[in-house]
Amino acid sequence: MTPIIERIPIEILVQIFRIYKESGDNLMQHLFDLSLVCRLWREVIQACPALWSDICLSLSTGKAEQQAKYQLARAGSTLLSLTILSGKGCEWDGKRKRSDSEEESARELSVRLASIFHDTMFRWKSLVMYTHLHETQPFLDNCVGYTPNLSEVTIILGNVDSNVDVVPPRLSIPVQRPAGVDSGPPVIASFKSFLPIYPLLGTSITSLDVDVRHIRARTIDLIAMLLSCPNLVQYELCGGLCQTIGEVPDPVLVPLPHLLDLRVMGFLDLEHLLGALRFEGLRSLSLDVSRYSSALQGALQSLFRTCVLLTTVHIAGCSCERLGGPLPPGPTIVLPSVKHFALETDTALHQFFRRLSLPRAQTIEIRRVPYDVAHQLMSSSPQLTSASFGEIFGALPHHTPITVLPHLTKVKIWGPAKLLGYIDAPSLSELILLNLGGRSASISKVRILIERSTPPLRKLHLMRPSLSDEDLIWCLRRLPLIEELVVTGASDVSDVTLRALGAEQDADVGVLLPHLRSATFRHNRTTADSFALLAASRDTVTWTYK
Amino acid sequence: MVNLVTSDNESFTVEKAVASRSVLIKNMLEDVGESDQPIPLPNVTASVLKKVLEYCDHHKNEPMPTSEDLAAEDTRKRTTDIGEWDQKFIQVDQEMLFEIILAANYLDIKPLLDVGCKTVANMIKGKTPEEIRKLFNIVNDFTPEEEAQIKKENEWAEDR
Repeated sequence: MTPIIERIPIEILVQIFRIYKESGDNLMQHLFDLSLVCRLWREVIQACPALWSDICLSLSTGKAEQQAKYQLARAGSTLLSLTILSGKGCEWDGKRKRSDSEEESARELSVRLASIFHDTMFRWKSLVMYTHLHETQPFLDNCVGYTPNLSEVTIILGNVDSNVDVVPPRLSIPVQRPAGVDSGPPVIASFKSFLPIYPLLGTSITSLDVDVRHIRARTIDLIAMLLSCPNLVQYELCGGLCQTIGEVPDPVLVPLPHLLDLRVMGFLDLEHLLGALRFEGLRSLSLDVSRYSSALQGALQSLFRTCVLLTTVHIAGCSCERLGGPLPPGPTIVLPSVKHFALETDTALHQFFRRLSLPRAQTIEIRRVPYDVAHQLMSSSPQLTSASFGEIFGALPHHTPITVLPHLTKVKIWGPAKLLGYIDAPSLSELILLNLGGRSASISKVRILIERSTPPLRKLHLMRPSLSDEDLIWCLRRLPLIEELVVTGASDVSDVTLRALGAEQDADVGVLLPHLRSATFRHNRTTADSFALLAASRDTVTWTYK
Repeated sequence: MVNLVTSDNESFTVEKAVASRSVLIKNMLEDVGESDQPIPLPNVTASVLKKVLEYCDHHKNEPMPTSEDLAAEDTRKRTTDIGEWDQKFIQVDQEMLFEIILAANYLDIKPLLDVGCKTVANMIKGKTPEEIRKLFNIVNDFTPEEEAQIKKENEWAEDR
């Protein structure tokens, strides 16, 4: 009887082979293995150009040229994805030093590969290189031409001298695009450890990811890079934590009218770059920089005032330095469109953030700021549905008002739950508290919230809380809608709580948490025996105990 | 409701939203308009259609893949990841697996075809040519000389 797989149409067999060969590392080995199964499979594989169009060459294998020619011969006229790796297979030995003779032979190989691929440039869909400078430069120098189909270019240089006195490598990206409406698809570009020059590609780049952590980049270099990319939609820049990029000799403006998403990480003096950029349509901003100087705060303030369409803001900073005084008190800065706001910083920025107002914010995530900043951000956000606070410190002023947050459904707090004492959240359905801290202070705030808002809580997680059986049972009695309960690391919670949760209750009181579906008790003072009794008495609940 | 009749003459009455997961049936319904006439499916047996309809029913509320989605899928790297429900659904014997693939191809249900192809790709993964032959009952129709020649030609790709 004919095996059923032989009834499968050729086009489906090809589809299976395509999925299969893309699921592993060694494409050639995969295809050769399949072509050894039977004559039909071999014919299908040999005759299907799409199976050969992803060309991944490892320069150190000694087979790169042979493989390149073999695959090109079978890829027909399909678009090509070209990946060149310095190391073997998927390993990227970017840090390995090469001897002079090794470098020379690698250079010659790159030139030979460039001559093989030069005539196929119009078919390149993507070019990805994880290579050393002595391999990358000769390849690019010998591959100059039009790439109307290119949509991705990634070049990651390894083993770059990170000495700040060494002039950083500059590489000309020679791929060109025809001008006009048929210039081809937008290009996603990613460059690491060199300064790219792409005068004839820049207008096609819509997403640019640049990592200059290991080279001495200057603000003027970064500006030059951006000036040739007027159509950028997304820009991500990564620098070192204590890296400086310097001032710009002459003031210059970089218009980026299409930029929607800006992410910057690192740098001590970002203000010179940020101050030069113009992107009034920005929707998403993420800054994680090492020092928020007064100048950077000024640039940030200007950005917040002009980018009224911002919907997502994430500001973070390490405590690498605390230089740069805060801005003097000033008027409130309203971010009218921000829906998601995250702040994680202990720098001099707190004064600045005391002035922010987020009238449309739906989610906020606040960490490592004083209580009054957290309270200000929360109370300026009447639309809030989800709030998360961690490592909030300091004290709240006397007479801090209660903030009514009618839409708030989810709260997560790491550390003391002080803020709960200042919230009225009548829709709260999910409360997650970790490391509650001092028992009397924190649990009293939880009690205050429960009494004030009678929240319809369905999910309650208490991780490492300082609370007694009495506290917990008091809370649970007032939260009858809870479906999911987690109590872990509560050293004072004992079998008393487990017995209270049991099915056999006083008829007047009824079963505690009648809607409970799952409960987890870990690392408390409860015992396995009591837990087993509890689990047996309420078999509709999924119980977890450790 | 839509009435579907299989090759072994069994009749299935299903919601239009379920039947329309098949582009073939959807187009037929659009061409014919409102009609009580049963739709014959001469290439699908009842046992296979039952399984296919189970898939369609589970996914009936999901958006249909657009031509842009399909074009993007063609250029994007495919993975062999399969959703949890789909994984359980496709745990069938080999005969049924390939029948489902054939039916999905005939009925033009791209997501189901994709699940089937991924499943076969996963079955092949990590196996030698001999193991693949054994798995699918494929006869090795190479002569020993041909096989040796192919292995020699492919030698350079090994141990990379």
